[in-house]
Amino acid sequence: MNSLARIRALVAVGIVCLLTGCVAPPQEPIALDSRGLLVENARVGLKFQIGDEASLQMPGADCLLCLAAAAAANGALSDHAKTLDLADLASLESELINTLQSQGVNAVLIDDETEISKLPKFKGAEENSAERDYREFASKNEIDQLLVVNIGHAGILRPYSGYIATAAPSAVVRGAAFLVDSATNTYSWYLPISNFLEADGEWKEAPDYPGLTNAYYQVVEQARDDILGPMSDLQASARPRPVIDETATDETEAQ
Amino acid sequence: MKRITVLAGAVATIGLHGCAGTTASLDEPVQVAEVRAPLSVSESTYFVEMPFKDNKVYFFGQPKPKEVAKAGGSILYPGDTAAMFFASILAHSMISSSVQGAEEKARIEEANAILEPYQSSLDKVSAAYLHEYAVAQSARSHDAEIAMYSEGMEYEGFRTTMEPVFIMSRSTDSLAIRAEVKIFSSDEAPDDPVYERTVHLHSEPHAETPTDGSHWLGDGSGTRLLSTVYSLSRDALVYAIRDYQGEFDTEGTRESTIRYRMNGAKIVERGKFINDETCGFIVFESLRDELKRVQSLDGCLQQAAPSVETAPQQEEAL
Repeated sequence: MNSLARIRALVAVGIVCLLTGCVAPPQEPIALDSRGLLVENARVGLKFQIGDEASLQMPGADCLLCLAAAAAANGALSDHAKTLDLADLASLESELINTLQSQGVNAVLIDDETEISKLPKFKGAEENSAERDYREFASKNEIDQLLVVNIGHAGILRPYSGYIATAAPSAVVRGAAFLVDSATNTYSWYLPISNFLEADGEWKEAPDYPGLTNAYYQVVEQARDDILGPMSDLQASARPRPVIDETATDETEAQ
Repeated sequence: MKRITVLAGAVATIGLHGCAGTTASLDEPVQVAEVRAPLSVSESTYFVEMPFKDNKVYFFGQPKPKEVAKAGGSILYPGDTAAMFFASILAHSMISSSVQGAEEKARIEEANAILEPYQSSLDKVSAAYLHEYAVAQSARSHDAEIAMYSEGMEYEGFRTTMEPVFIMSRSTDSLAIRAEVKIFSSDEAPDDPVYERTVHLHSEPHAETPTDGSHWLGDGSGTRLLSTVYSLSRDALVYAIRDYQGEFDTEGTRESTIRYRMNGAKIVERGKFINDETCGFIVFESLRDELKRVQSLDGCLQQAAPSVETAPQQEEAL
């Protein structure tokens, strides 16, 4: 390889590194450590965020004209998506409070309109540091542990590439549920929610779309199970994580 | 009074006959004897017509449903030029439809493979006998007046056609019937049904589902499997009649999320809840307007040992 080619290759690698470095890696799931919830007299606040209605999203239809064409082509589907019920997701709010209280946790619902996406970003050195700084929010609401359920999108998703639909629509629930220790601003639990399901069989069944509608309530149920499941048995997830005793390992190996 | 006496006599005769047992083996081909005239016929009698041309009943395995994916995929097509962009879309469409077709075929073949241990028992099931069983049982249970229809006969009341398929669950814990039922009235145009619906009923699941199929086959004769087939077939007919009579009216009922058990796991479906029945069965109307009876999440489970009371003796129907 001559020097010019070598330089070109290095520049290309540099650009790739630079571009990928700009994209923040998604938060990895963190299994629930419920010890913070079970501390005596700890006050646990639930911040529950969900949109007003279900909707159709068409990612990939990026240009204005593409979006207009996609909206025109999916008018009936968009109208139907708005009729999908959010009640099974919204009821999670009271179900979570009841589930926690039934296990002796002092759980309260946070009645604060602040959107968590508007909280300042946080760059902590500790492992599992939260993306946002929740400390002030928690302090304002007198919370020791902050439980957040944030449903970003519930409804139907149809991927596009410009003007062209690239796949059949899927029912979708996206968001995240997490638990933040307000003292350290670290996650004690992080559950990314990204559930997709296509209709079983034909999906083009306007105006009621029974296949897609069933798929929607199935992804909703999956999200409910994913969120409520870990919270329903806090004792099971309160065990201290196994710590590797390097000395013991060394001794074993020496033997 | 006379009618009640006749019915009581018939029930007693059938009951005693059933108790006496039979030496006929279920391994032998089903012999369908001439059907006797119904015990009584009134304007509310439902004459059952057998629409099958080949007297064959179809059985399928339950295909695996699509599963919730934890992340959605997106596709970016190369678009250096418009021609390349559209060519890449076309190529992707052709490849994906071919792959999906092959996957669907494999899914169905895999589902039907579950029926192999039961094939010899299922081969004994005839469409004619399904109907005859329903007629015979109606005399015992009085939940619907059902009689056999012969082609061209003049009738007062209703003519009913039913085209069932049976579906074995993936875990083989239960069997389901999916039947297209039509009811015609003698007061209306003969070819315009006054009722038309798909009735989808699940049997009670077994607590244990050994892989050798012994929970259905028992000693090899398949008594439990056959009795479940016959019971489901009759139940589908009776549910359709009850539905036509307005028992399962859903007007004013809001849709809700129905949670039920299948293959030992929770299944979620949207529909209009109708009622809870005995032994944890839930009845609801699905989004595709099917009348469905399914096992509730905390419903009772059948034990593995065959139940003599629920196994219909073929002689009873004849």
